[in-house]
Amino acid sequence: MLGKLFKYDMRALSRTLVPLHAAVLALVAMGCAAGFAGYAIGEDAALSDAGALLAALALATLFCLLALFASTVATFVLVLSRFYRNLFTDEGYLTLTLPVTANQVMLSKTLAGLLWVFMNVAVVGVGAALVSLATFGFAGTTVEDTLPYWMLSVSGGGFFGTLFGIGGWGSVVLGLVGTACQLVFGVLLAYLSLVLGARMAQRHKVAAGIGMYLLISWVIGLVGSVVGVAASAAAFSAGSPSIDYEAFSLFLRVAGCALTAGMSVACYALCVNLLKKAELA
Amino acid sequence: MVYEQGYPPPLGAPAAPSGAPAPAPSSAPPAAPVPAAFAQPAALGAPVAPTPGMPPAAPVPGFFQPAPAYAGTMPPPAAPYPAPGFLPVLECRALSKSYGGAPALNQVTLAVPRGRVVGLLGPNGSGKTTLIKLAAGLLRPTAGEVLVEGACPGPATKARVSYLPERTYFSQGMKVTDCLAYFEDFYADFDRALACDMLSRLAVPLTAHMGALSKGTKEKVQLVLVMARRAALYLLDEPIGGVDPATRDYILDTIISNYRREATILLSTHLIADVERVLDDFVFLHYGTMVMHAPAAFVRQQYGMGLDDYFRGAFRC
Repeated sequence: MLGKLFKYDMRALSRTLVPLHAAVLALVAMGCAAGFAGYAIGEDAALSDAGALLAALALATLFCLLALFASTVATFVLVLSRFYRNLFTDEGYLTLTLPVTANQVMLSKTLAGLLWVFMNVAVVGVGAALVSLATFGFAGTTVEDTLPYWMLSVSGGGFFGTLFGIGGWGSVVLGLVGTACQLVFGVLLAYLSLVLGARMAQRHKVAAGIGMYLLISWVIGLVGSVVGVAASAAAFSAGSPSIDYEAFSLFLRVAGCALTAGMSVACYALCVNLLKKAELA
Repeated sequence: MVYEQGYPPPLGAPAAPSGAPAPAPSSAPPAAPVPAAFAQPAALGAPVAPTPGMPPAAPVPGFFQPAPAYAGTMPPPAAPYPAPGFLPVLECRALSKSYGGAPALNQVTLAVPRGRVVGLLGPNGSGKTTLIKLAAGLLRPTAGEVLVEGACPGPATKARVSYLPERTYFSQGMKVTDCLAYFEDFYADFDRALACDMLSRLAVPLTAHMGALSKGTKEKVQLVLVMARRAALYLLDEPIGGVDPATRDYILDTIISNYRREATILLSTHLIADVERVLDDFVFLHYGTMVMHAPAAFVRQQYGMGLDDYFRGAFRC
C-alpha cells in the first residue's frame, strides 16, 4: 500500500513540479547564455555600448539566479499544498477512508515531498554553478569559484574551516549534510504545523498552520541560540581548560545535525499520532 | 415464522400511495394517527409509547423482540436487530459526538444486520452525516463506540466499507481512468469491468478530467466507483441531494441493481419520498437522537401512510 500511496503522491506533485523544473532548466540555459555573452562582450574591448549591454546581461543573469532560488520556495509551497489538500480538504474524504495506516500516509507524503525538495535543490545548485561558471566564460575557473560552493562552504563553517585547518571541500560536505538535515526538518516541521493548525482551528486552518510554523521556528531558534552561546561561553571562558577550536567547531556542527535529525523524528512521530486522530467535520 | 405479520414487502415493491390507507389485517384495529412529536426516543427492543388521548398502535406480534437463533447462515430478513449469533454489520453503542459544546449525536444505540437497505432519515442537522462519518472512520466518538463487523473503524474496516460522501473527493486534475485505477489499486474488492460498464452506459468519457464534468456527472462517477466494490457495508451520504429528479431515479436504480443481498446499505437522505421505495428499514434521527428504527413497512401498516407523510407529520415545524 505504501508504494501505491507514494506513486499517487509523486504523480500529483509531478503534475506541477515537472513543468516548473522544465522552466528552471530553461532559465539555467538563459542564464548561462547571458553570462557567457557578458563574458564575450567584456573581452571585446572594441565593442561600443559595451557598458549598457553588460549591465543588461548582468541583470538577466541576476534575475535567472533569483528565479532559480524562487523555484525552491515554489517547490516547498507546492509540496505543502499537496499535503494539506490531500488530507484536510475534500480530498481527505478519500485519503482518510483508504485501508491504510496513518504511518503509511505520512511516510508516503514525507518521501514524495523530500524527494522533490532534494531534486529541486540539486537542480538549482547545479544550475547556479553553471550560471556562475558562464560569467567567466567557462574558462580558467573551477567549481570553487561558483556561488553554490561559496554558499555551502559558508554554511559548513568555511571561515572557521579555513582558519582552523578544515579544507574547503570538507566544509562543503559539512554544509551539504547540514543543509540536508535542515531541509528534512523544515518539511516535517511544516507538515506538523499544518496538522496542528487543522486540528486546533475550525476556520482559517492554513493561517493557523503558518502561525504555528512561525511560532515553533522562533522558539527553536531562540532556544538554539541561547544554548549555542551558553556552550561557547562555557567552553571559552577565562577559567575553562583550553579547547581545540577546530574540534569544538566540528562538535557544534555535528551536534546541530544530530539535534535537527532528532527534532525531525519527533515531528514525524507527532504527525503520525495526530493523523490517527484526524477528523474531517 | 415469528416476524411474518411484520415482514416487509419484497425489495423494490412500490410503497402505498400517499394518503391512501394500507390494507390492514382483519384482526388489527384501525390505524392510529401520527403522534405530533416524540417526547422520548424509542429504545431498541421496546414498542413506541402511545400519545395520550390517542388509541394505542396495534403491536406487531413478535416485533422488537429478539428472534430465536436460526440454523442458516443469513439472519432473518425482517429483524431490525440481528438475531443472536449473527454479528451486526454496523453497531452503535450509546454513541455520542459533540463538536465543541454542540452535541451532534446523543446516546445513539442501534444495530444494523447484513442484507438490508437502511434509510438514515431526519431533518437537516439531525446527525445523519455525523453518524455516517463515524462509521467511515472520519470522526472519533466523544462517548460510546461504533463498530463495523465487530471492530472499531480502522484500516481493516475501511477495506470492507464503501463510502460515498456528499462532496466530490477526487482531485480535479484526475481523469476518470485515473480514478478507476486508484480504486483498483487500493480496494481488492473493486470490480473494474462493472465500473467501466456502468460508466459506458452513462456515456462518461474515460479520458475526461473530473474538473471538466458537471456536478451531477461527478456524483454519478463517484457513485459508480463506490457501488462497483463488493463491500460489506455501503455508506451513502446524501447520494441524491443536489441532482435533478431523473438523475435521482438513475442513482437509486444503480444502487439497487448493483446491490448484493449479503451486503448492507446505509443511505442518508432527507428526500424520503424518493428513497422510500428502496428501503427495507429506516432509522429516524432528530436533534442527534434516534427516534425510531423499524422496517419501512411498519409505518405503512401502523399508520396507513408512507414514510414521507409520516416524517412530515412527525417533524412538522
